[in-house]
Amino acid sequence: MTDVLSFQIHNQEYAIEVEEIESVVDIEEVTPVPKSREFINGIINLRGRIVPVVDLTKKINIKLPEEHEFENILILKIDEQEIGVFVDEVKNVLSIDETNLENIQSKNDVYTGKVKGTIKVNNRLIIYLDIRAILNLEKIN
Amino acid sequence: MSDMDVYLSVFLEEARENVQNLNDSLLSLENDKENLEILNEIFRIMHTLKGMAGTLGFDELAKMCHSMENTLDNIRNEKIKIDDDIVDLLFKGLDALDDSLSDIQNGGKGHTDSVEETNKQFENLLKEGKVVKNSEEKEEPEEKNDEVEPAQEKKVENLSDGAFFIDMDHETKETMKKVNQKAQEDDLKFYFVKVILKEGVQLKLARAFMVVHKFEELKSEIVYSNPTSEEIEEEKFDRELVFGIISNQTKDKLVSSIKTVSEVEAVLIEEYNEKLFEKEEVEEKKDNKPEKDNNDKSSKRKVKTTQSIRVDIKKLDELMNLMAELVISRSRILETLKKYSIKEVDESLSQLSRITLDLQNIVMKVRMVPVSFVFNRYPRLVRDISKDLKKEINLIIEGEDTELDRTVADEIGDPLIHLIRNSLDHGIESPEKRIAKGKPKTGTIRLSARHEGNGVIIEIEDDGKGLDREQILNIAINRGVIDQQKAQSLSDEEVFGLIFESGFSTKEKATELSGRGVGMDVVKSTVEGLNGTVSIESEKGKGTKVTIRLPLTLAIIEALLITVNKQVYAIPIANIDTTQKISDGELKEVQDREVFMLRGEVIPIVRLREIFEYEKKKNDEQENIVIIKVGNKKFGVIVDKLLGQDDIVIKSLGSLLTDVKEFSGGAILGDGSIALILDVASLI
Repeated sequence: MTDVLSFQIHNQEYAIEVEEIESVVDIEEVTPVPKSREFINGIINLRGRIVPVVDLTKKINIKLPEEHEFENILILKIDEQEIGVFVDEVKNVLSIDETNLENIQSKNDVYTGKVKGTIKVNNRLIIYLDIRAILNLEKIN
Repeated sequence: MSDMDVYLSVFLEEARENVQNLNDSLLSLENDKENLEILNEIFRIMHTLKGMAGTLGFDELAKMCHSMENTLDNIRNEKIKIDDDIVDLLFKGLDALDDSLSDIQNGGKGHTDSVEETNKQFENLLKEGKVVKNSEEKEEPEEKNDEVEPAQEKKVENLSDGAFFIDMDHETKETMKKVNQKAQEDDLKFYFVKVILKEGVQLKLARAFMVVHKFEELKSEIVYSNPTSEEIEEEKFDRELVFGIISNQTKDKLVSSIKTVSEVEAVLIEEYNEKLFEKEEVEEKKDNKPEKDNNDKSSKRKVKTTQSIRVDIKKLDELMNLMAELVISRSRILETLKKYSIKEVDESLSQLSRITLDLQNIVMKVRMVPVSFVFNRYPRLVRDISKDLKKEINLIIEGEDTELDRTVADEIGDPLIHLIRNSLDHGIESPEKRIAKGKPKTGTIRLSARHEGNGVIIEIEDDGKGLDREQILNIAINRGVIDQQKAQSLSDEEVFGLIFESGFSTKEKATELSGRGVGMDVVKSTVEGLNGTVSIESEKGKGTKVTIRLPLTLAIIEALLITVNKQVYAIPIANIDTTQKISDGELKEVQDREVFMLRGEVIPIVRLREIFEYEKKKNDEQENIVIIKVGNKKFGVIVDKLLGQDDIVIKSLGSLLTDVKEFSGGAILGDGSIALILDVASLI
């Protein structure tokens, strides 16, 4: 069994392995980094450390309404590296069986190689993201 | 257990130093085989090493040293004629010693295959040179001892049992008197203890510490020591240690406890009485000491000795981090107080600033090591490789006293090895080819270091065949590093720069040296990772020069803060020539590039707003321009506002942003906001 944390972006629920999450912080001033890739929103000062913050909607093609504003930043810690992810709302921790995921073929390849599957809990359908693949991070071990 | 660890690490450090010194001396011996002085020096160090290994019970290591020592002795007695093969074997022996030390460091007993194998070779050599009688083996080292350290013998005779005398000045005597009174009041005893270590003691420092430790265990307070604790730490003492201690223990208890420390020859103890200081006849003893020191120094002169204490680099890193936090806090206080402008605070603030700055400088200096720290392993490397390649090389090392940050020094070692290998492998031609070309038979590699501005420059220059523009281009095109059309328009400098691209290697056939996994691209990325730059100059047939520029330190820099589109950015002061205000008319356009005339010089201009893809500013009358200097190139950067100068602490932006070449890092400012640090070299 694997523990995952689910969160909401716009009208879809997603999940990331709890192992890779360090904390959740309120949104704060984001310093833009000119010339950086589009999905990188900028950097924040996280207790004296500089942490980049990414906007997943740019990676998985979610159209956000113009007025949309994120509320939280999920701080991931992947291979000792901290990365912030914009989210609307953090939901809860779920224990899932990785071998028992729904596999829904993505229609226009937006999700291909970026998800581990879909989690079905009660009436919720949660997309279980492969965050390393999305951020193009080399998997160690 | 932790005590043992401490001694073990002292041992390893010292042993490594000894092996390094042996390498150096053996290199000199190779060039001057008849030089008895060098041979004696090697012998002496080997003997020390053997003793150290023996003391700590590393028998394999000691045995190895012993065979090498015997070989050396036979050479000295002309029983074996020294030739290149023997020198090679000795070098091999040193490598084996090094392996053995690594094994010990990793928790082993120092037994490695290389030790066993090399040791056999030495034993064979000793047998075949069959002038040796087996029985004499044991006595050899002892004899040597007498020759090298005659002074010590005498001293032991001077020591009568029981009484001893302490030489101290009047003032100290008075102090001791007071101490004694105090001790009596507290019902404690005031003793003077003289500890004499065994002759030829290894790990003096460790022994001295153990003695001090024993006193502490017995709750005895040390009020006097000769040598002083500083001298002990610097190992500036002979075999005798005198301590004045306040204790509630009996004499016997103290003596028996100290005697449990190994390598202690004798312990003398006296209760405080003024007679202890009266006699002067021991003077003679003192005279011997300096003499011996001098001898030591003169035979050692080639080895640079810096007096130092060893500090764990981690502690220095912590110190540096704290220093960095302090700098940030100071900036934050300054920022906050600016709003109120209180006169009284101003003064103490400027004092705080001054102290922080001094502290920062000292912390930075503490982390500095001379580049010889890195350079001193290269002569051996060059020797081995040139032998393999059958090339004749003269390695010249200059500026080895130049200091740089320890972390930088650690990182730069391997890239330099690669560059030296390259020079040897691809640069310098074989002797035949060199003669045919009318060059001296022996090739020269010059490795130099010097300070320049706020950084260190390291150059590796050879007089080999130089880089071949066409060959590089062909390879670059073949390997897809560059396309054919673009290739022809490149300048020589740009072409040579290609060899730093990943996936490029000029090796046409693989040699033993290649395939180590470090390519020129790694050299470049390492140097850039250290906020440095690397460039290459070459002339076909004449040679190649690689220049590496490195910052003195990594953590804290002085920077000019500027704004662009309301965001704050930092430009390292080291890169700034001047700042100016210019009005529109002063900017001219030449070949679709804006330029500006500064004291008769044409300076190209870049606009940060343009580079960062922000909207153009409404036309102000005046523009702020920062003139940047990178190497010998100058250019101007137009920014929105100049905010002022500040010390900033460089922090990494993490791997998601490594593709953004415009910034070398970020810094957190006094108000908690972030300023990106411009990597100015990327702007042109």
